[in-house]
Amino acid sequence: MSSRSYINDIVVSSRIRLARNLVDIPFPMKSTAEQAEQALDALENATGAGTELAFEEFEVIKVDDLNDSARMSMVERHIISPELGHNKSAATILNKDKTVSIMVNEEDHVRIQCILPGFSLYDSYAKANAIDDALQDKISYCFDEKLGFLTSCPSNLGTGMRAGVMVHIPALVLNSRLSNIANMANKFGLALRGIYGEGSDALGDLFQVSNQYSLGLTEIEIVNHIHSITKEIIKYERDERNKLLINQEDLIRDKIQRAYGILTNAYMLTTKEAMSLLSLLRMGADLEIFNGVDYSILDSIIVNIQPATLSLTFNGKVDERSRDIFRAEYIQKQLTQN
Amino acid sequence: MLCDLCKQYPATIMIKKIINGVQTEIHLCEQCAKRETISTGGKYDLSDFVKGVLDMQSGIDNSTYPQKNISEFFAKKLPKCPSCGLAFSEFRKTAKFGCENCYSAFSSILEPILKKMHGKTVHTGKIARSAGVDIIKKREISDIQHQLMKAVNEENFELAAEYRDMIKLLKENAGNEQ
Ligand SMILES: [Zn+2]
Ligand SMILES: [Zn+2]
Repeated sequence: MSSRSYINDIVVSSRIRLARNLVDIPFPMKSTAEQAEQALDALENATGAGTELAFEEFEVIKVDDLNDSARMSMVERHIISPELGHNKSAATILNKDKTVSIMVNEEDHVRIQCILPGFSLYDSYAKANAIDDALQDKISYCFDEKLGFLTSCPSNLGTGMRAGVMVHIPALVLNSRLSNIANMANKFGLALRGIYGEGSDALGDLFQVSNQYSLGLTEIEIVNHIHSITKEIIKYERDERNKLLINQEDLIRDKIQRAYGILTNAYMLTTKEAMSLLSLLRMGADLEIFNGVDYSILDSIIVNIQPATLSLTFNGKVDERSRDIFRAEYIQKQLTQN
Repeated sequence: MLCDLCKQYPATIMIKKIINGVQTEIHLCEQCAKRETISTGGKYDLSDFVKGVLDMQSGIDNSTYPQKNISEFFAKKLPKCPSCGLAFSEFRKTAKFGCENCYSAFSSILEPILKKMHGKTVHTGKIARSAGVDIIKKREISDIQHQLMKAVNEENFELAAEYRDMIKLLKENAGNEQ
């Protein structure tokens, strides 16, 4: 039970992000190059040797020092946001196990992000909150008694918190129940959004459930909301998976085994095709139709086959077609190596 | 007309979408429209949102503000933020403030925006250390007062008495320090 709750077949990861700004320096959109550098220095000081956070072994990575693929790969791995990087002093301060990324000089001076695997939103909040506390040994935040933490965009005002879980819900998608889930989430002030790809092309049946409101609720209230809605989503997804098994087991079994067949034999695979086949395998593992590969391996494949991350693995620039060949090779190796 | 996305079912819903700054109309069937609103759910263009809220105000207050819309009115009336120089028209365009003092410079237009964005206007969460000991203590006391009321409502008088003592202690401590 305990090991299963950590590596969850439906909840892939849990994320907390806290937006903060330093006093006496304009927000990044209005700060000068020196002021931005000053903000970065302050954060380096607050996380480095001799601080309460030294045990995390933080490393400062300036976005300016990364090439395009390296930066995009960090976006694909959710270490930094796509918006980080329009200014010279934009950086992430990343801890050793890469669960905590403190983004500096994004839209706000500080964005503390903690992502943990599985359904672990409370742990993730505890960690982000502890880092937030420790940073305040060395730095002072913009804060107003009535408005809370002051952020550049008023949509993040108050707690400055965005909390979310990444859920894998292929059966709800397959049985066209997505809008039911979205409506339920909306009623509780939460939003449902595709993780990879935009519009109606949510690749791999992966979605994020996150809060829309950051003001007028306590941090724990927000986490509680997401936690209870996620529990409902897990229940609905299980129901739909059971329905699939009862009503069309042969069809589902065939789909999943074909997915494995293609993933281990194809010569070329696009991100889109690979994502939808991997989604089937991930569900197959839970339904015990497909055995032998761990969720953690499937999840790392999903991250590593994204375009920028993949071209890093294969050393730099490659055209789309060779990337599709590399992708197929990589997946085959990962799925058949044990 | 068939749905622009699936090209299978008749299009019954028209959605206006802003793609790369250009407004386009797409015609969708009911299924695809549902999916489309899900995937864009919450990811609305914030600056449009802010403009919408501000312009909506003008409809209500037409007599006081005869101008075409209130944001134009405020654009002329509100001074720039004295600290960072952000003009109101800039905020209207980007939905972003330039510094902490923008919040006081533009406080007169903040309320309706916050109300629409969050449903609420007052922070109840964590307090920054920079807020100072007084505010932190005040909040601590009011939090315990809430607990106290809850305990009384649940007729848990033993617990209520404990909370009462805690509040007394906190208030005494606060007094001593001054
Ligand atoms: Zn359609
Ligand atoms: Zn300002």
